Amino acid sequence: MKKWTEVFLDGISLENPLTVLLIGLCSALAVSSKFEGSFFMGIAVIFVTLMSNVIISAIRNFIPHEVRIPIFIVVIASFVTIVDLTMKAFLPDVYGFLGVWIPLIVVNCMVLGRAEAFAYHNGVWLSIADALGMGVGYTVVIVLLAATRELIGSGKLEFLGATLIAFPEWYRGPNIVLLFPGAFILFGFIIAGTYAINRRLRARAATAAVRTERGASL
Amino acid sequence: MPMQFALLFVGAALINNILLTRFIALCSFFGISNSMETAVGMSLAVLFVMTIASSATWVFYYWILEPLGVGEFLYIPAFILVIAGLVQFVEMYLRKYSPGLYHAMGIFLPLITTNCAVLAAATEAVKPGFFKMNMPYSFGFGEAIVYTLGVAAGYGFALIAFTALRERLDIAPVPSWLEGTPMSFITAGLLSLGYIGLGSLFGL
Amino acid sequence: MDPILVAKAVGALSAIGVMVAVMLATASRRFHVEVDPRVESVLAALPGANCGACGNPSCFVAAAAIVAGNAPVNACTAGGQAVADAVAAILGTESCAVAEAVSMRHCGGGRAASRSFGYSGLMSCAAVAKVAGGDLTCPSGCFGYGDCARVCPFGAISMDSRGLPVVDLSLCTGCELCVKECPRGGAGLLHMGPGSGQIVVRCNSHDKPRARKDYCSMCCIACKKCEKACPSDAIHVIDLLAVVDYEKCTGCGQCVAVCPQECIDLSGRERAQPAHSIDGRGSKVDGFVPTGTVSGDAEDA
Repeated sequence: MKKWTEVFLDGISLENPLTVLLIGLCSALAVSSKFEGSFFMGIAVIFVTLMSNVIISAIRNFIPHEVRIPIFIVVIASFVTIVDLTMKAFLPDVYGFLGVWIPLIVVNCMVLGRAEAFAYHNGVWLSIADALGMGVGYTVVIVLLAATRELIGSGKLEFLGATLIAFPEWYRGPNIVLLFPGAFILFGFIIAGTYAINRRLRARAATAAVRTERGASL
Repeated sequence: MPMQFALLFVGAALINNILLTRFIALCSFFGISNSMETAVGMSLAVLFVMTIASSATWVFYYWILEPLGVGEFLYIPAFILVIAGLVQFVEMYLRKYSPGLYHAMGIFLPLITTNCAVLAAATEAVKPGFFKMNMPYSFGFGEAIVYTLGVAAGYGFALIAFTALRERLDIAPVPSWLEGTPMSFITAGLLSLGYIGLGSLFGL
Repeated sequence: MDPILVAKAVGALSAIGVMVAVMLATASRRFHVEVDPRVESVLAALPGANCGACGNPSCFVAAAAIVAGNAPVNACTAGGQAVADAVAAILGTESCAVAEAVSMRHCGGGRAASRSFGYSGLMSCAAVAKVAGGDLTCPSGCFGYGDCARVCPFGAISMDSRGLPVVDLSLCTGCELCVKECPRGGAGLLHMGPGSGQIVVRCNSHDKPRARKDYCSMCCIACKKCEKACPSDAIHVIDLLAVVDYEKCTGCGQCVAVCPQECIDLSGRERAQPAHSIDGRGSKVDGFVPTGTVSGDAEDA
């Protein structure tokens, strides 16, 4: 259980796919102009990563090394197609916003990368932890980015038609935040923040390790 | 006709630059832009693979998938199969007949298989605005090729410019809490700001 | 559920899959490449730094050339004798001796050298050299922004607290990348001496000694005390600058002890502080350590 939580928490902060590993960036930055779009993108990515990690981890002993990439892609593509069609049916507005990014989850570096690096070599239980950790880490970052961009840029936060937060009428946000450069720049600051948090986490882990060592030798 | 092709090319390369105004292929953007040799190698490899892949997927879509009516939901696995197979084929061909070129860009070829840009360019070469499914216009073969060349040129252009900037960032006095990747992103943001200015070329 | 549509889908994807598989199978047979396995083992024996000292663009090309007989077994000067022996063992031939060389820095200024203007651009020697010839008043001295330390593929160069690069003799392989990278390397600031050469004259300036003392408190003043003290006739003052003849130098260190400027030094030694403090000696000298260098502290004079 300890290993499970360790792998899960690693995915959220220490090895956050977006800010530390720098995989899965394309979709993250592109959909981060609206809060609800990135929320559902995060849900989609969690679903696809989880299901594909489980399947690939379950059949990993039967996949020959040379053809593993096409097999991964076929598995991932099936789940992405499920997400694609479901979203088109039940959330047409969100689907219209997300557009090309749903099919591009298939070649999302994160999904394929975790399948190759983790699910192919580890058991189902740990692969679930990794998938959930990576997915949640991804979702947290893009939701944070999108909320900041939408709030600062347009002065209100909307979700499925309902306005969650609205700044007063006289507020005029800088339009650059809503455009692509704003995404890059704000994301740079989020990465700087993640690095600071990781430094603190690593320092705390190092002192804890020293303490357990001393405790063990006593 | 040539004017239409020129506009298509410029539109794909500069105005709708795939990296900086559409965010596609960012992982490779930040991973490869450390040094100029790798950046140039990657751009050439992308140009090569994208053109061949787009032509092949266009042919497969309009001659096999569309006549059978399965294009709408089968295009993802079909295109990826074609692209992966083509990349493998190109790698083997280069290894035999052009070992110098193979070693120059050899490691990038497998990377490009899963490069978002290749899949995006391939699907859009079939139909612009493909994913909205409501565009009546379809690309002919010539237009598909020109569009893909434009996308690859835009990719190379942005990648090389960003690599040059990043090489100088290494030795610039940056505040310590922003050093490294955060500063690269902020620089990419400023570069993207520049490309937005190109959005009004030719009064488009 | 339209069974015909499902059949069409399965058929289309299978057809595409079969076509791709056939293409790949024929390709793997027609494009088969014979690789000499010795190239792989030679490549593994080489350092793998792709430094280019042997004249080949990469270690892989060098390995191929060695196996094909186009390059001698001791081509890799960076690897040294150990690599030459290993390569000879793989090829089953006799090994040859490898000439060893290390990089030497002919400047002792750093903090003790004055700067003509404050510079706040890219922290790179090559960059500052383009701005009015560089911020260092001495026309032949070391800027101290660390380009050599950054380019060294073996990590042999580090910047010390004086703002000068120190070469770790155990790591330096003589690949000469630092000489090429230094904007003043070709002018004699960094030069390759023999591996056993320990004595280095820390001055490269060709101005008159009076002018030199104006901008650096560590310069050579051409007093010839070293020439008189040397028992092997290995050091001479030529053109108002002390020069060591490494053919004759035995490394006894008499010149080091006798130099009044402490300008002659042992190679690879990092001094804890400059020999002369800034105050007192030469009021016109106001040097500092460039900020943002690889391991330098940001201290002003």
